Amino acid sequence: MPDKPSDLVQGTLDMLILKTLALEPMHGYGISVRIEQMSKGVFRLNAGSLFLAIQRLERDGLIDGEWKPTENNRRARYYTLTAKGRKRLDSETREWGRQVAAIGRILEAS
Amino acid sequence: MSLLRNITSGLRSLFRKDQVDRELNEELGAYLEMEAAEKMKQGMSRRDALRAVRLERGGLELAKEVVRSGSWESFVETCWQDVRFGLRNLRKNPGFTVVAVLTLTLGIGATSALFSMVEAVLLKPLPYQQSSRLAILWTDNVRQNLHQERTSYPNFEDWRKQNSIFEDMAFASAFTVNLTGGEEPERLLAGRTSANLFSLMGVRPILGRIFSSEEERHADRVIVVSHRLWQGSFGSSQDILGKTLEVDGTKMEIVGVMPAAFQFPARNVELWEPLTVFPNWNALKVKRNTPSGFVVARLKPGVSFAQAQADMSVVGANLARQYPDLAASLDFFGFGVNVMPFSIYVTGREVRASLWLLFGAVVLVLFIACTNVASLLLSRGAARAREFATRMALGAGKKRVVRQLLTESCVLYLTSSVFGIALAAAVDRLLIRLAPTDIPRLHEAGIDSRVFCFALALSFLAAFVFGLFPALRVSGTDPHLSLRGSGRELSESATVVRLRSLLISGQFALAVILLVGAGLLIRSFLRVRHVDPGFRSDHVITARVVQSKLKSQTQWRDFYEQALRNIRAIPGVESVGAIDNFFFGSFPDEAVIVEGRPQLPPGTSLSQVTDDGISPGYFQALGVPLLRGRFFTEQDGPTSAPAAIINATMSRCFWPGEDAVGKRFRFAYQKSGDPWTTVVGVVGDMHRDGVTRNPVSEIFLPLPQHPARGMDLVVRTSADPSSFAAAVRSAIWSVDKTAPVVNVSTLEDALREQVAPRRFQTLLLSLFAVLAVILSAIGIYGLIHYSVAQRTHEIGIRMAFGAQPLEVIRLVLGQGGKAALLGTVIGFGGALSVSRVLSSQLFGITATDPLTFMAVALLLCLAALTACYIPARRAMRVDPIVALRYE
Repeated sequence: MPDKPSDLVQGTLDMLILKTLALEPMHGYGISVRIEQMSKGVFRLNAGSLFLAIQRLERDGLIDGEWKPTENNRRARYYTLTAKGRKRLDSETREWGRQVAAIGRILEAS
Repeated sequence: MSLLRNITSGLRSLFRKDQVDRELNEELGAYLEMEAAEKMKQGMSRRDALRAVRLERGGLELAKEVVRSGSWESFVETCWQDVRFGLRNLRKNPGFTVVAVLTLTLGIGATSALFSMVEAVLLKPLPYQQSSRLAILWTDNVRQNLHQERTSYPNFEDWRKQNSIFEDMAFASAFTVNLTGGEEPERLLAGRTSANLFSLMGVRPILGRIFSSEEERHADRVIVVSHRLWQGSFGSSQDILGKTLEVDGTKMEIVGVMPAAFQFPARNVELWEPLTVFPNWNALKVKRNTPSGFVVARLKPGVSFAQAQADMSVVGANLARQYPDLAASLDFFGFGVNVMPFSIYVTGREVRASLWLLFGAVVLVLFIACTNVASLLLSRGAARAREFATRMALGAGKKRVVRQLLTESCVLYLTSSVFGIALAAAVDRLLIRLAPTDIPRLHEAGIDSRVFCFALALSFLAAFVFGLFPALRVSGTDPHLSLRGSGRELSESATVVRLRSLLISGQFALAVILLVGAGLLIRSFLRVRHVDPGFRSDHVITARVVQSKLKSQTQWRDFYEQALRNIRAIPGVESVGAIDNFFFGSFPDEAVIVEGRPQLPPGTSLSQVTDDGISPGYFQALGVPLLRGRFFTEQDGPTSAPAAIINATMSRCFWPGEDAVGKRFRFAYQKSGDPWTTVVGVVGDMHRDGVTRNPVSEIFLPLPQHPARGMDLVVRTSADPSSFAAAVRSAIWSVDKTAPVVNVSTLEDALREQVAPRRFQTLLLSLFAVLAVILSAIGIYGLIHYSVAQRTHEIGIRMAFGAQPLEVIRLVLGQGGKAALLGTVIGFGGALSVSRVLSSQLFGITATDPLTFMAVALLLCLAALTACYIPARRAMRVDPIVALRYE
């Protein structure tokens, strides 16, 4: 595990949030923990950029937010992926795959 | 859908700010709380955990700031904050605000008012369907340099058949007719048109119908009347249709009413009838050398006027080949065709040029006003350097500071534009009253939505252009230096003075251009006023009388002889005369052949003469001097030998160095067997057509030998001529009650109407020039005032060391004076090139008139000196002790 968390590749945060929410509805902290766990601590988000992205996704209609009680009896906003969000996630994943493969090919060529 | 969501969500956070804020607080709070709880599970104390979270994830406030900054509504909100701050700022600096707003209100108001005129007269589409495709076609008489001549009907028919570029072509002519059968005989303008004119122009009657081509072919006696006639004579009654009007003694049935906006072929046409109804139609229909009508045409879609011109030139050339004899004959007007956009015909080239010129001038005034405000903003920016340094030290970016300053500038300009629009509305009404009455559609000028948008757009544009420069200047200063201390402020103010001097130079350059333009026009106007028209216009009343066409020539002559006798008998009338056309008679369209000389080659200007029938007393009534020979007398009767009086120009052109009296000539339209006409007298030249045109060769013929239907009467009175109007009318009506008397006015009023366009243009341009000078003076006053205020300390030191007041003045005036001088010099360069545009409107002076240029330089120097005097005096009175203690 590297000591210092890395910065996210530009524009990928939205995709990661969508991916996280594809499994189940989640609140902001949950998203952040899940991304951290799945990336094995490589990506750590600060609150500002996380909620900025969430606000953007919600306004674009890719996710829906809803206030609900948490397990510890607090109130938190849970976010659900919309149908439009799911479609966007699929297309972005595909595009990402294509790009990674292409970049890999370039880097491996000697 | 997501756009809608974006907007509603944004609006929600704008208008339900508290709730949205609470929610964000709660959500972020929960987030940080959860993370802290996690950390506490691992054994941290709550305090440490919260601290760790803040370090790792960023604090609550920062996070909120980041989230808010990502949305458009936050942009709106900060703008709104800036606007409120700007307004507060304006209120806190009433001196600055009043000067800036007043300056801009003048600039924006004047520009908007002129724009509303330009819009109403030039930009608004004509009230015809797709009016940009309408064209008017003239006969182009190249030989005599007359390019807008009417066209004969046979030529029109050929144009219509042979062109491939127009959808349709219509023919229309205007005649004055007598309307009888009412209480008083009326004389009005009638259009005689081909039936397709209305559909071609795309106008529909508001009542009834227009006449059909069928009716045109059968010469049915049907007419369509104007909106005004309908209102005036029929009280807008719906059952006007089917009623009859007596036009030139013929009963005509009314079948329709046209909308008020339809004014063709002339502005005051009151009724339209099929052209076939004209009594002489059968002759006119085939006479190729009688120009009688206007030709309107509609271009096919996508065809340009240049293409149309090219096509019609070919048609004209073909006709010239087809009728070689006619094309070669001396008095024929030729087969050339001139295609002109209809809109240009409606407004007239001169009005167009004049309006654009005035609009250009007012934009220059606006520029000067804006530079003044930019200059003020520069100084204020320097005064607020610390405020902005503080802002930047606290983390405001350069962009943010520029944005704030631009917003403030917009607030200033928009506030002014509100006042400016109000001012424009008032100015508009004034201008419409002052303007010559013959500018079409000018009375429609007013503040409509387009003018409103123009004023707002103009304000925004100016706010950006003229606000950006001061804003960049302020945001460009180093905050450290500004914060550190006053030593820097001095050099800062020196920079501002330098920049403001540049603006002053620009202002003076523009002011010079405007002043030179105005000066040239004023000088021309004065020259025009002082030209001797060749006759005495004081104490003269004129009136036009036209008789029925049904009478014989002898009846016409007897009528006028009797009417003139009756008027002469009115107490207070000194003399009376008549001419068949007083003002518009000097249109040179006749050619003469002089006895004993071979016929002149076609196209030589010597053959261009006018001819008018006059009564014996005409020259005496107008006070025209007799140079040689005699005036007409009673002996120049219908049966005596043909006699003529010519003017000095004709005598000089036709018989240079000879005595013209006794010489004989014949008109080109006369047959070779006709008797010669003998010159019996030579009179001085008259400027009948306006003094700006050179007199042409004129021939006057005795009325008894050349009876006319319509005549202008000129009556010289011993008292105020306008008080004779009623007496003159009744003297005429005592001879024939059916003879309409129109255009009754004093000769001086009529002449004033002739120079009205020139007066209007001169007045307006002078007004703008005065505005420009005042604004420039305010500008240089502001600069010197500022510079003195900034340098009080320095001046104090200098005076403490023994500087004399004069040296102080030189110090203070140095910069401003240099700027003004530089601007004036640049302005002269500009004025030299701009005044060339004016040259066609100048009279009696050249575009580089040295007197005007000198006067302008003197006036500006005077204005600059006066403006500098007050602050300079203050500088002189600086008390060294006080100034030094001030620090």
